[in-house]
Amino acid sequence: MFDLETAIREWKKEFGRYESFEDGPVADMELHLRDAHEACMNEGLGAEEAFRKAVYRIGTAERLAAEYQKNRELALDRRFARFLPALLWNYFKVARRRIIRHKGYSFINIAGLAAGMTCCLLTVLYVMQESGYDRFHSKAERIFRVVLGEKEAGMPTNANGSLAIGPALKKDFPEIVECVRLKKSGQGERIFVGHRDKKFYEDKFFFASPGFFSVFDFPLRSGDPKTALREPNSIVITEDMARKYFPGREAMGKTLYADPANEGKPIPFLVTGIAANVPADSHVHFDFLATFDRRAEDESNFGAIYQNYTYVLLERKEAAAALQSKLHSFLLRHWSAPWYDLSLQPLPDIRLHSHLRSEIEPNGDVTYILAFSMIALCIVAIACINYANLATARTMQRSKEIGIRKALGASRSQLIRQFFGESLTVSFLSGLLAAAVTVSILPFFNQLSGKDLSAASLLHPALGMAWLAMILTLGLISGFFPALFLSRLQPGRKASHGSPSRESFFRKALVTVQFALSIMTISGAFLSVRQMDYIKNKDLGFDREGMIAVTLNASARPAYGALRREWLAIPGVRSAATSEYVPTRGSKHLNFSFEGNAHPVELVVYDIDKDFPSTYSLRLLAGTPIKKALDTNSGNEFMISESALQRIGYPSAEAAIGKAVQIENVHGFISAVVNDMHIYSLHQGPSPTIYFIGPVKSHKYISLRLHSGSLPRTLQEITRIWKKMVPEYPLDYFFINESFLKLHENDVKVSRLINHFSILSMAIACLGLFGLGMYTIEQRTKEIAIRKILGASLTGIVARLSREFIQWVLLANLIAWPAAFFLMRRWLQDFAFRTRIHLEIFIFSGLLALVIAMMTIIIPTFRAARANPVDSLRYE
Amino acid sequence: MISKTLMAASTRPIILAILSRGRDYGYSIIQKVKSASGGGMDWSDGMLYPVLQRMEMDRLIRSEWIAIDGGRPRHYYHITDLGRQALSADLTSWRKILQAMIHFSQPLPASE
Repeated sequence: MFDLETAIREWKKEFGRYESFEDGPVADMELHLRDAHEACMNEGLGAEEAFRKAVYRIGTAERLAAEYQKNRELALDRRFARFLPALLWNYFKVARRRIIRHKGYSFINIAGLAAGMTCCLLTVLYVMQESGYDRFHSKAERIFRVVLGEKEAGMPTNANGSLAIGPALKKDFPEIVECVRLKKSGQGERIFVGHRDKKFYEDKFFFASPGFFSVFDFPLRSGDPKTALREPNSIVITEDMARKYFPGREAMGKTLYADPANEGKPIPFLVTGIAANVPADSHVHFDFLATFDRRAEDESNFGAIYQNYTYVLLERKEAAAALQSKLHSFLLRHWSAPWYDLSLQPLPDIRLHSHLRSEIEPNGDVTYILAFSMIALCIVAIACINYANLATARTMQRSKEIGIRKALGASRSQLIRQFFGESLTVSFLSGLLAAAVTVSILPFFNQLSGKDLSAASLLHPALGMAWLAMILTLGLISGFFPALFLSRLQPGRKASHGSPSRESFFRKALVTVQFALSIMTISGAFLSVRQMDYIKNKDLGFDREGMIAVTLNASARPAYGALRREWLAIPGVRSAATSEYVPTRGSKHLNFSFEGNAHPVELVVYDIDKDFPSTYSLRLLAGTPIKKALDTNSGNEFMISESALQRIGYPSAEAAIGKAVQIENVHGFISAVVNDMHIYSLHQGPSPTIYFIGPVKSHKYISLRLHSGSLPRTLQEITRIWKKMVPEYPLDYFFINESFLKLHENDVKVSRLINHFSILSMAIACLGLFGLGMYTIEQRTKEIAIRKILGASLTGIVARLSREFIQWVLLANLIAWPAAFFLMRRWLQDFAFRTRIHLEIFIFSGLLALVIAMMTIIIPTFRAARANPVDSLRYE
Repeated sequence: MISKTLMAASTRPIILAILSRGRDYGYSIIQKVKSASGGGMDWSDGMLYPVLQRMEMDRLIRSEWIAIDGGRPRHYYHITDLGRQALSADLTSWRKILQAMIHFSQPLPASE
């Protein structure tokens, strides 16, 4: 039985399938249907027949949906066009249409530009963090570190200084609002810290003066920043340390034991504050901040230079220059014969521009920032070249469109705006993709670079502006050449296929430049790997394999004799020695007077035992090894290093033997000359060193040379013996080699980043070459078919098609090699010890680029050569 | 039979002309067109509504739902001032075309 309402409901369902219908039109048509149905029934038709006729007259939902869809698109166009000048929306629509129609080439362009932009964004984030170190302190611009410089040198040499400097400065200069002193406990050795069963060795233990939190913005989660460091034996610890030593409990008000002087007598410290963990972008990272032990150092001795760091907060930043000019006379007021000068170092400059001796932590290097920026620019340039190349290569496909536009009255400037519109659209899409990719690969980048960049950093207004500027700039740059060439095409002009033309030469030039940039980055990557290998394997003047250093605290010193006997009895232990310092863990500098030299000479001082030279395999260059311990009498034996020889001015090792040495009231002579031992990173030259034998009580380390074959068992045995003899302290040791490599952590991270970036640059260049190759082969499909018919072999065709591309790559080497050599030499200058720039680096880079280029081209070429000539030549 | 092109070109001025005489709704517009053309202009019923929607987007007409005498609410369309201007321009164009058509449809004078 026909029911009108049911029929109308079913009829309306058909319209619900199309999203272009809104409720309004469907309601309109329902009313119309009812009216038409009524009219048909009035004409005498039955209900069902009238309904069918009315439905027929309205028409199908599909046809109506198409009409409504046109209206929707028109409404959308008008909505955007309100904000855009005339035709601009049209440019966007044309660009969108082209992107959808030519997905393959669009992918190459968008992916390439997005990759380049991602590199740019990551580089900007990296540079922003590196150059933004310490700027989270609200008073950063007014905080200066007081550093020392040798009087003759004229430039700062030391980040550390004397405890006497700070209080004297504050007293003498009213423009100094506050002075803060920070002392790093020990000189590289780790400090015992314990609470009940939680016992560890820590290396971020500092002492700080009471005004620390009023100058620096390290927020306290608990405790009063004004008083936390006022009372003696108070300590502020970070949140991480609170969790480590007081898991699940409140740390405030609890007692923590620490042995900063390594005397074997842990001192109780009351926890008076819990600080937020120090952010990554700080030049100092502390876990513990304790009040100064006033007995530990002479606070009036300007000449006592230890791991003390002085910071001043000025009333105004501008007062720094005037204050600087008064520092020399300030020193003369307090010290009759100063042997150094003072300088003020702006706090924000420390990270990138300070590479002095005794920095609190290794700093960054502005050279790396420049290197990254250049590599990111190279990658972006390669991506832009890809776009320009593909766009101009596909000129013929656009000639008809351009001809029609010109015939309809389009001016050249309108065409140029159209092509820029296309390139800006691609650039914008690439920018969106780049932002998404940057966020997703940030954790991986952090791992590579050792940074802790967060996605939130991307929301920084400066970065947003940089992102927009990048999109605009890249869009304009990449669209420039296509706009120039394509807008010049005349209607009706036919370009000849395969014949030399200016556009063809231009494309070759662009591909050549692309590959030149890629070869440069690859050469840089090879060189950085070489330099890292050099660092790993460089002869440091001592045998670093299997060498461990054990912290010798005051508790263990009485047991040293027994420890040494038992350890040497372990088959895996070859030799043992003690010393005040070991390579990579601090040093002491003192001035010595030498016979035949009018002025005192500053040398690194190593207080060692008689087994030290043999344990470290130092080579004797002249004289006899030192055996006698130092005392205040004359006749003390000293050993100097080769570079000390040069600094003193003796003509040869043999000439130095027997020469008198004096420091304060200690007299002696040079008994031996040994080779240089690297105690710092390879960014610095060898340190001129003087050795003497001192008592174990002044030594902080035991060095053990182990057989590399049975390390785990040997270490287990060493630990067992230590626990037996020194049960109250855990064993603390480290491998000298690992400690040395850690000094080059930054270099290793940079090297890894350069390697990854160079791979990316080659990938983008190949992407472009692939796209260009595909296009060129498309154009020569008929030619390939004809050659096959005329008897050309497969390999002959592949060789002929590939040869053209390969020539460009070979030419790229001529450009890349000199440029790469110049840049590499500049980078290596930062290392006092460096690998050589061998020709094979360039040859290998060039060959690699060639092989990759050939593989990129040969696959589509081979496929084209194998195609059936009939299909290629069929007339359509 | 009237060509589709001519029907399409005349749709807008006819709708505007009908609405210039007073508000109206879709079904009524279709019936008036059929009646005025003696059945010669038989518009597709459903296709009228996208055209009305487009004209409303162009602000030539506006619409509202009105229930008269408590009956079913209908979607009524009104002509706007912009629509009246467009109608005037369209009628001027059509008169000129018609004038030219009439002129060229008169028999040629007999040659001597």
